Amino acid sequence: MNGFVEAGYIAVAAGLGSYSVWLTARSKKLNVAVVLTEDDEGKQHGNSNNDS
Amino acid sequence: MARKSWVALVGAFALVTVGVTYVMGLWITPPDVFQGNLVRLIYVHPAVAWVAYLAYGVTSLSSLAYLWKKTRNYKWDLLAASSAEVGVVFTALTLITGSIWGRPTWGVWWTWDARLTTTALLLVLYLGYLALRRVSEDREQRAKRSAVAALIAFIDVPIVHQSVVWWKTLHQSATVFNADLNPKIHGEMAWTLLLGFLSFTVVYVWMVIKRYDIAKAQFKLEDQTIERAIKERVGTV
Amino acid sequence: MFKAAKVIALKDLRIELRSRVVFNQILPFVAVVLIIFAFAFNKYPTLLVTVAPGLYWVTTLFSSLLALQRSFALESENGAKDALILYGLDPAGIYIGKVFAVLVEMVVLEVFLTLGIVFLYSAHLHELVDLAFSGFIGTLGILAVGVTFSAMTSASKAKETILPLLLLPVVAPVLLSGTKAWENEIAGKAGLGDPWVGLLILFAAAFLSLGTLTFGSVLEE
Repeated sequence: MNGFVEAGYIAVAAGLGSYSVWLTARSKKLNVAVVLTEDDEGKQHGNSNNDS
Repeated sequence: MARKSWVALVGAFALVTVGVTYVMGLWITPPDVFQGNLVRLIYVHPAVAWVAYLAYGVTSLSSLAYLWKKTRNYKWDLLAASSAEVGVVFTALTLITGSIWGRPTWGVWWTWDARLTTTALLLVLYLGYLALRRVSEDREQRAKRSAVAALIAFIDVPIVHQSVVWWKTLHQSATVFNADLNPKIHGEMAWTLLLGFLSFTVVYVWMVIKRYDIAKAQFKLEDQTIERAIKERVGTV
Repeated sequence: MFKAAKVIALKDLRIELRSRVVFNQILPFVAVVLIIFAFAFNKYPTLLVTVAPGLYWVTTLFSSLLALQRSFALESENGAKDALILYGLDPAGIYIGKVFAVLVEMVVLEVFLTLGIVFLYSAHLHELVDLAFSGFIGTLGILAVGVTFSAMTSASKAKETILPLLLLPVVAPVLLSGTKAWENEIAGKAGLGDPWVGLLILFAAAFLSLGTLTFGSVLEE
């Protein structure tokens, strides 16, 4: 083709692609963190139950 | 879990439709009589621009829903923020693809055309909105203030557009965009054009869901950290 | 509402009369900008006359940023903003009072700026009433949005940098319409029926009403 068309298509793919990758990575990381703290809380509850 | 797989399905659908649009746009559709291969950008650029406007529309509506006391819910605020961020990504891509199209068509990367200028201002307008969200600390305060900022932007856009249109039409006779519209559009081309609009809209939907979930998870994490800090100091409540 | 507006406006103007921050700091700033523009266009002195309307509006915009920041620095000291709400003042009244006080200061600055353009750039201004009217209404538009944004950001740590980022894109139509209105008026082409002046009026009206309606949400903690 003529370079410009490819450049336009690549720009869109790269832009949307990198944003999607960032979104996916960030949500994975956050979900792990949320689950971890939830586990922590569960453990604490368990311990206090055992104590009493 | 059901929600998660449903979101993944939307993502997969977006990926496939964009893929098909790319194949159709780059190889299947014929080159144009006047523009040659350059016409292939029409399957991408207007669709991306449409999504940018859609995103800001959603931001404005959900900000309004937040400000209105009867429908006030922090979810509207998060939706407004998510949509604005995705909108900024699409606006930037609109400017980039427009510029790439402009260079061979008009011979310059940038021209002070009404639409280009409005789009550029739109980008800075919502970059400001996102920056405002980052400086506020209190959640409720941030939600109210950014909702007002989103309304200001919403009222501003038509005024900006009108002023820029007058500014240009007082100088030039016609907008440069007129030359791009071909009176005769091939059947295949029309379908690809339509598919482009559909696929990028699905991409937008997926991105907003993802971004919204991230914002919500962040909220949850903050709450949990605060709760834990309180527990550590005060003991179990 | 108007009682609260009067209280706030009188308070701010009284503080200004005593502290003279606008007079001692922003007025010299305007003078410096006038001189700096002369340096920037030193190769073509006549160009200064041609672009005088644009320079007028750019300078007005930048000095209104300073005046707005000054106006809200008054409130964020010692948590004075919270006190205003605690006194039970109507938020819409606070808003209008603030807009009015800064407007008075800006009118003084703009008269000085116009004199500077006439004497330093040897620009010939006529249709003074039209020029003054569009200058006034455009400034009102800038401040109508500016007061809302300043109230939002004045308590944050990044207030100096975020206010221009928020305000400049929004008031871009004022800059454009104001410049065009001034160009037309100086050329004697259009009077008050100029569509650009209409746009300035529309802008000011739209954002004054939005500001009055939403200032409560902006102030609330």
